[in-house]
Amino acid sequence: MKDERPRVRRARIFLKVLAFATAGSLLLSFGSFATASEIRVQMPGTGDGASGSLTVRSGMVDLASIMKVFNLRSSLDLMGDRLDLVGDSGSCRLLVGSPLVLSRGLFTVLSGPVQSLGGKFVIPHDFLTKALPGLTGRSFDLDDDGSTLVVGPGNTGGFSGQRPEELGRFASFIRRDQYVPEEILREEPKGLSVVVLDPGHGGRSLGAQGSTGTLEKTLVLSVAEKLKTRLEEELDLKVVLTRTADYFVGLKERTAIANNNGAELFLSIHANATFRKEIEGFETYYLSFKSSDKKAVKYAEIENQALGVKGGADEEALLEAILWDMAQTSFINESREVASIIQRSLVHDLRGSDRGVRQAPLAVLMGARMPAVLVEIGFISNPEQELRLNRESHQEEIARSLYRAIETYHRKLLRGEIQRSRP
Amino acid sequence: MRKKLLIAGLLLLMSVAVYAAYRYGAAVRPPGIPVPEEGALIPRALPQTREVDLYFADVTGRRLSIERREVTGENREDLYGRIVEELIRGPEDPGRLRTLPVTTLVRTVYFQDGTVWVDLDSAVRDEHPGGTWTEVLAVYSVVNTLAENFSDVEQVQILIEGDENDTLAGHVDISRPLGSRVQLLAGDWE
Repeated sequence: MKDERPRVRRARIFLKVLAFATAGSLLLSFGSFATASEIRVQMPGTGDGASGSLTVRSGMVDLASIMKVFNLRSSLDLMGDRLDLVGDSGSCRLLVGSPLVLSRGLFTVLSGPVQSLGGKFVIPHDFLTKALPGLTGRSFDLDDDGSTLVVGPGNTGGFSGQRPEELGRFASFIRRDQYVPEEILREEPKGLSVVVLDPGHGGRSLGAQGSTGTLEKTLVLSVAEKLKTRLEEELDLKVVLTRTADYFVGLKERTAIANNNGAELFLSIHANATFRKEIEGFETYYLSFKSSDKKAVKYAEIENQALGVKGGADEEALLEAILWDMAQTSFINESREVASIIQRSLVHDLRGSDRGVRQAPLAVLMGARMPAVLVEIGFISNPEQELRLNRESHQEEIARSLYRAIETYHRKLLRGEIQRSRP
Repeated sequence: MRKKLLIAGLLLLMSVAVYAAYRYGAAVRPPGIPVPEEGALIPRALPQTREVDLYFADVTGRRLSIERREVTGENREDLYGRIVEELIRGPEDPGRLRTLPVTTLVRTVYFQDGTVWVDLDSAVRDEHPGGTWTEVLAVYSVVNTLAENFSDVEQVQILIEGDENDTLAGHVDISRPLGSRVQLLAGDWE
């Protein structure tokens, strides 16, 4: 592979060492935090008296309680993946699902990722000593048994971190499967409850056009509506459409709608086309996180780490690269599973050619924090298929086949046959 | 006296050059493209003929497929532009499919620091049939053709009517310069 240059390989080895070190320190600290415990917060001038307390569960602290005790404000961005915290003497940005904390152009890495659990954010307890000083201007020391957090007087703390080019893209890799809160481990298998269906294109984006004037945007909306009705009526799911009529919706907005609705499945419905009218059949896609963007690859080459030369790694671009990587990668196995269930169902029920389950760098699937799939329900560029796709009864058949696929996935989840990814 | 004349002449020449660079260089450059360093505006006037591998689609529309062709251009940018025009002209072998609409026009081509910007007119978007994989093949027929034939081309960005675009047909991210994907010859992305 062209990408596998020695520098990258060296970087990977470094990454593994880093991951091991993190895992090691994690295991060491895990013992003392395996069950719920209280940390007393001791503010300056209060002697031995506590000024508040924080509950630690499996090494994670509820962010809302930290914000309350230390008087922090927060805001979450539209996509729901960047959380900004503001304190009296500084601010920082957290990336949901990542162990990264960013402040004034510097990164620090927590022992595990910030997680979103049922609408609440929990954060590894080392956030208290690593990032709080920068927000409050105070120093924080956790005593030996981890039961008391001693807060220093004003102007004693600051944020220390690494520059993005020192960090490279590693941070996005060391995040998974650390600090799994116990309530998740104990969780019973659950089926789907919220599904977002995304009828492709809309408004000025016409999508593919058939030779007799069939428009992809119209066709896929009709199929999505039929599928929505079935899922609601027969599986009692909450189903949200990214558009309900013929208007334009941006690609990022579509996944944002799914993220903000807490969807457990994102299905983008499209109709296919090529330059050769004979081609027919079905294709189903899930995201490839292999970028062909050379700049993203360059972030992995952090040989400048020791020397600190060549600044200027663009912080926003790095954030984008990390988020791009993170959002779908944790769900890639599930996305593949859903894609193949859908593909099998369509090929079987509608007897079209199986053009395969494929990975591609699809803009509409990036940023989805749930299994996400794009299905091409037939070739509008094939006159025969166009004719059929136009028929209400055929659209109903497609909707039924997609419904069966989602139902299969739902049942597999219920039976615990598919391991659910954790955001 | 002769020295003064020479200096005056040189100054005049320089101001004409600077004006020309400003007037014509800036006027046709699409937004968002860095201004090349001084000297880069002067085209290398040597005609270049190259035998190149053109990346079209195979007859199934699943993978890229190579056709060899000789292409001549007056300089680097011109050659790249003519190569893209060959892609637009389409394959000679009926066992291959075109990847770009036949009505597409190449507006301009720029090269700087390993990146080629290929500015196409709106036909590439408006006349494209659509379809996810058809779009993948359209984008990477251009990217692969330029990046695989020229070792100093690292990445390629497609502009439409001079502007950066999120996608060409609504599925594939083209908002940034892209590197080649030779895996597409086997019909796979990865």
